Amino acid sequence: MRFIAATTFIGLVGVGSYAVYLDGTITRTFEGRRWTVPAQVFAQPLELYQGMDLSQEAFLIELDRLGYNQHSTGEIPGTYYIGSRSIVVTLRPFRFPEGYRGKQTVSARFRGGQLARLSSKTKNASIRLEPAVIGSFFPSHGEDRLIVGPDDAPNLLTETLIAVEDRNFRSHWGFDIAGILRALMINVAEGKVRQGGSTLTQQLVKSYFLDNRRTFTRKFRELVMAIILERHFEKDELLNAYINEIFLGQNGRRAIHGFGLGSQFYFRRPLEELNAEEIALLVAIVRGPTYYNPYRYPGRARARRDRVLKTMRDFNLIDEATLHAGLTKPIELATSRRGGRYYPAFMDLVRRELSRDFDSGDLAANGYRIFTTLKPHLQDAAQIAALRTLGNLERERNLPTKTLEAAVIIRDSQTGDIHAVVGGRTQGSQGFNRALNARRQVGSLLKPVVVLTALETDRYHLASPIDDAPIVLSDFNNWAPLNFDGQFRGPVPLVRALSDSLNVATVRLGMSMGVANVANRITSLTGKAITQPFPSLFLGALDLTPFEVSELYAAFASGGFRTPGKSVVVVLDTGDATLSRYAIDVNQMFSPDHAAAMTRALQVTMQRGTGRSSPLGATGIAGKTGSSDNYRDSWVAVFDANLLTVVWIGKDDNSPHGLSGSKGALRLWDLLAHDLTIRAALVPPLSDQLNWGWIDYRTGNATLEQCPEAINIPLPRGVDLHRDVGCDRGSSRQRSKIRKWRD
Amino acid sequence: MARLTVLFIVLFSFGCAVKAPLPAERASTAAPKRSGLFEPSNTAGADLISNAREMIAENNVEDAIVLLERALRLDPQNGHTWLVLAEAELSRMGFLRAEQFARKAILFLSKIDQVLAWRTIALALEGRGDNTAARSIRESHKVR
Repeated sequence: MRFIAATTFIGLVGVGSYAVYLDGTITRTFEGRRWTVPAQVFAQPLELYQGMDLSQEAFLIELDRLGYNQHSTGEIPGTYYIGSRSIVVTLRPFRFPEGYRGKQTVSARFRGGQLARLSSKTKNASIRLEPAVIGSFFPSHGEDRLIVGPDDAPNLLTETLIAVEDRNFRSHWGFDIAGILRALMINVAEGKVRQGGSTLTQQLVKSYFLDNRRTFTRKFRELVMAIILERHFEKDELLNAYINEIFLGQNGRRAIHGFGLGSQFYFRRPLEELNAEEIALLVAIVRGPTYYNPYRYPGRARARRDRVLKTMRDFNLIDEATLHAGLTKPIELATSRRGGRYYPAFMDLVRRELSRDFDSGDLAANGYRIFTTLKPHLQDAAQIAALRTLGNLERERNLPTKTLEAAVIIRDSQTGDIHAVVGGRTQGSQGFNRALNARRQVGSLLKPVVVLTALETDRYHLASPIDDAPIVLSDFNNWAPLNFDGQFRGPVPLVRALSDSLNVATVRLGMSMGVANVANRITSLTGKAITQPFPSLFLGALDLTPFEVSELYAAFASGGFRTPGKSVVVVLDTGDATLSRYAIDVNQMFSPDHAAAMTRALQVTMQRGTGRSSPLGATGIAGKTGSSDNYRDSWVAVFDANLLTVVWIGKDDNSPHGLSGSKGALRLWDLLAHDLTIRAALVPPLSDQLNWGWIDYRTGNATLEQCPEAINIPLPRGVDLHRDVGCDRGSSRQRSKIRKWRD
Repeated sequence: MARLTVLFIVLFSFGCAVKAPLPAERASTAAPKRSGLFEPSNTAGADLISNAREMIAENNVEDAIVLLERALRLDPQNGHTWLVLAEAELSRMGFLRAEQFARKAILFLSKIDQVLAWRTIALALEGRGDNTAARSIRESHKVR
């Protein structure tokens, strides 16, 4: 007897001590709870203003991307109305870095591919759409969430949760005997587990403190902890914690926690905009995010959603009409919309930039908001162009499918803002990011640096004759470079040596300046040190990533300024204080005159040289194609006044694929360009030292504008050129001797 | 002393700038209005520049730069935006950046407006103590 009493006493003391221990631990943990809120990353907001290039179709795509819905008036935030003459849209409130912008109704009219009229009641210089969320820095355990404040959860959601999951929530102490019995009866009656007996508080405890093991000990702890939580916290606090904590789905490594993110993940709309059937679906998913995954099992998910809708009606949360309307609607998920995905390749760049200033733990937990330079429409266009081009090339060349890979960087020609990054053909998930990490031989993409170095000596101009004749470099193992076709063209103007990508003429030009000088110029433009330069450098024997190539060409695209590429504009903390701002930075690397000559030479390249296969070659775009030995790498760098794009195509095992720059990478750019508004590349105004003049592309002689081979280039004022009279170069009588050339 | 002089000139020049708006800004004031609705137009960038100038005059340079960068993203080839950005940097003695932004502005400005950019470059050089280079620029570009 004594033994039993002693054992009971010890047992009670043990349980009591455990309860006291749990009480202290749980209360402390829960009181000091701080959700790990991953940093949210935003795209660049679209600024609307009268006269901008924006068609109605493109505008509707942007609204679709942001999860806007068509509505009878368009006067509710997140909706729009298409009228006979204009579109009325009510923008959602948003906290921009410069301050809060409340909801705003605007009217937009489009004509001829332009936003012809835009009006609103606020006196803003321009109107911005709120930016799309393009990623988050969820931690290694994968939890991603968007916090919903206590007053921000729709009443319909909280009441539906209570009605479906825990109808005695308002009155129980953490567990619900009646609920357990009711679940037991239903499950026995139906012969399967249809209903659980756990209260919302128990579910919260399970998700927040415990694991998924189904053991008696764990169930006991869950019960005790739920009671403790109920003793210390208000019902509304527990409900809000539940709304932010509960697991709602898995997306790769990313675990979707809480209804705030769940709403964005499944519908790409904020929680407060969801209608009854959408809320019903989210509540339906709670029971089994895998089993009721609406992407994988839409039938199951819809059946359970309908059950939830009926429960909502039973509890008078919705009326009969809403119930019937909801039951007839299929499940509409965000995948039917454009964009809105996360962009891992771009996020790599964001991560790389931020790693200089931020700890990865802070990015994963502190709820920062990061505003970036990504333009979703360009990113989507680049991804689509990459996939299509690779597929087409593989088909045409009978290559095994999915052997070719691609990388694309799109950036603003003047500010350095990176607008899109494609890291490979697998774009929905993180993988090897070729745009940032694949170092490949750049081939002829380096030739413009050889030309720039020559122009900077002032011994050369674009019409200077360069002899494209056999050359043997005795100091370098008797290296005898050849042109791609094995032919020699004799004296050609410098501009043609570049445009036609003539190897022999380029090596001759490079040797006249010295390998070291060209190497130094490459280093100054790319930041890449070249320790042992050889003449093969003139022909691009250098490995660079597509991003590094974009850094190099940014100097040409921006009129001679080094413009570091950047993806982050500003990082804000949860209180919207600026943690770090990344300003636009420019640094002049060469003179406007040399920039003008280089841009013009690269325009000629696209119009008459190796880029001439592009249907847009004559629009004023500037660029250079490149390919490495045995056609292992296909490159192009193209810029216009707005954008610089670098494209690489190749194989991961570095084996040959037979594609030159113009037959591979340029085709990708051509496809991408369908989605771009092309404007002629920036040619800086010439100083008094230079003049515009017409020369014959093949010979470099001065000629007339109307002649078929005439190109217009900047030339030193007063330079002497041979002159062709008229366009008939065959007639010696029509050709004058050397004459002083004038424009 | 040289820096104080530069600062004085810069502040003085902003006073002038506000009184004599750039052509683009003049255009913005003519934005059509109807039935109480404001119509943002392609002068959006000019309005941002105008607001930025006011902020600089009020010594709120940080916020002015944020607005100017926004204006640049609207229209990266607007020489006036680059120039005001240079002036903003000058006002907070960011002489190197001021010089670079002004050099960038020259790419997009008319010959007449380029003089303003050369003047900013000269001021930036003087701010850095490079009076020889500044004098050379003032002479070759006829900058007072």
